[in-house]
Amino acid sequence: MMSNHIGKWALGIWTTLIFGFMLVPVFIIVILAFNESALGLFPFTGVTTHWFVVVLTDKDLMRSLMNSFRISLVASVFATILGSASAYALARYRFYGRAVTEMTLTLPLLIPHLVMGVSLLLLFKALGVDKSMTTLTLGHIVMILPFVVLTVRHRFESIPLALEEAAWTLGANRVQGIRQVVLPLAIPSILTGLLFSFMYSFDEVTATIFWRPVNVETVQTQIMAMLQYEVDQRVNALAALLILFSIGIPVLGLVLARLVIRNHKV
Amino acid sequence: MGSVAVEVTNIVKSYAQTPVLRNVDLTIESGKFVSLLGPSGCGKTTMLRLIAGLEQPDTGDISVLGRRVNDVPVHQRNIGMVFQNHALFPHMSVFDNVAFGLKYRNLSKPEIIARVKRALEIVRLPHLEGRLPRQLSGGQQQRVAVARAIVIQPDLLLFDEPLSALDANLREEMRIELKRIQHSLGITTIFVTHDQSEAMSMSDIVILMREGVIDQYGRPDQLYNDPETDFAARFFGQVNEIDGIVAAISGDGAKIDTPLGTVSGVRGDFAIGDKVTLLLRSERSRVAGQPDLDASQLPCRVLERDYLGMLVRYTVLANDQQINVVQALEGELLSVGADAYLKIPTSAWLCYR
Repeated sequence: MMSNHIGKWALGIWTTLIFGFMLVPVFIIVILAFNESALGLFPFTGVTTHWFVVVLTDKDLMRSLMNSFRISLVASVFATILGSASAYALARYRFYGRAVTEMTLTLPLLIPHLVMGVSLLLLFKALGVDKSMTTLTLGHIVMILPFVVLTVRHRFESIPLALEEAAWTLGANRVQGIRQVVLPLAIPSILTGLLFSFMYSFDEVTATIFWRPVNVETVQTQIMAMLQYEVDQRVNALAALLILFSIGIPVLGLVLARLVIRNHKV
Repeated sequence: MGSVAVEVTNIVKSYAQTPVLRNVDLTIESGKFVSLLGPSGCGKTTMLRLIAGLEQPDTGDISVLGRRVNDVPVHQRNIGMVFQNHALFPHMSVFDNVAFGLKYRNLSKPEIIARVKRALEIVRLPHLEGRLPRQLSGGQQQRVAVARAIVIQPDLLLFDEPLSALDANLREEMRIELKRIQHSLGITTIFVTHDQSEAMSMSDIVILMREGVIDQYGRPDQLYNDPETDFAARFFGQVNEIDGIVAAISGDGAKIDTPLGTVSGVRGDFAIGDKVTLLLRSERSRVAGQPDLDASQLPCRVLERDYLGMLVRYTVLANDQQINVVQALEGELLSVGADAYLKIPTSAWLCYR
């Protein structure tokens, strides 16, 4: 039918436009990173990889990059452990305050980062706690917990309780049952949760600006600072590297997950 | 008279105000194959899970081999359980699945290997050790589940409707297999099912449950021939309902007049003139196309006919009563509308107050 065809075409064009709107800036930045000009804009004065070298040898930039890695790694590992344990409790146990716990653990997803930034800052101030790497990391953990809890809980719920019950009847206690039966089957989801939460923490900038101690920059806050004064070609190169990272890691994770899942289909 | 394997006293269990088991007592002898039989919601699965330790009773005691196990956690009760959907560990091979329970029992590696091989031989799957559960058929999966349960040499073997998920032919085959395995190993077995023919064909003892209490228990033939309650009578086989009036009472029992003739020797507490409902077993009645010398047969007309392969079910009209009869096919199939003759032996009648 005519209207169907037109509808499909329109939907296709519209979708392309939207994706284009979102992705074209990303492509442009990556392309611009190879521009010789120090201005970081079009037109191209030459093609070079010089700026990547500049970025990779810049002490301040590398330090902020290390900070980001450290914070996000610690935050995501803690969040994964805490979140997975919480997810197991929510999936398997009935207890008082269960609904409230569930809500509290997923709420950070709904709160704007600005609000989180300010409110946690006020809380630390009220408690008399100084800003530090620790408080910054704690804030990140709070923000990324929901990712882990949601991802892992879904997986736990799809693993039949009967499997654990079978393990118990055969002589395994609860912990042994979790280790031998539940964890191997849940590993793909747990790793996905780890990956998601790491990337989310790594990309986070708004709340980090509020929480960071004075001399600490993450790569995101560093970029923001650099952009305030000029359109620096170094930013393009750094951004291009981060884009590669942001795409590459989840893809790697997906590939790994596929391999693991193939053996562990419930 | 063997020794007692399981003793359950005064069990009460409710889920969120809904009573599921009300003051249930039961005793299971060692080495016997006992079925917990009943419709959905009667409490049979709950009872099994209480014995397994997967649930806790609100009140009451559970003892296994003379030891009170209420406070003993599941993993210390030494039971083998087979679940409805086999519950095999999908990420482990058949061998690792079967060997799972042995890891917690202080056995050497060669002993474990020997026991696993033996268990797989008993369930007749000796060459599938390396396979994953999803590479097996439904029947094979269930058999591996059985191997996994018996390899630990448990005190009790518990089955939670293990054959419900299998197709009809496979179910028949597995019934025979399970009975054979249980018989050769001699482990006390409790088998939960809603299928009365399954319970009848496999069990030494059948415990019929209904709405959280035990309705009746006994050998399968006892339950079938001498059901003590209306519920039990209707549960096994098919019955027709016939109204009758008590005509006379003697030392042998009451004589009851029904449209299908007079039934004598009915035991019970009757007074002359009482209205009673008699139950007539479909499988004990007979419909034939030709009359024979038996004077007690009733002329009837065939209303419906269901050909069931090995059996045929006729619905006939005799003296204004619609009766279902199930019988083996003898001679020709009678057609709908044909005249026929209905024979009702005394063993076909059941009566309850």
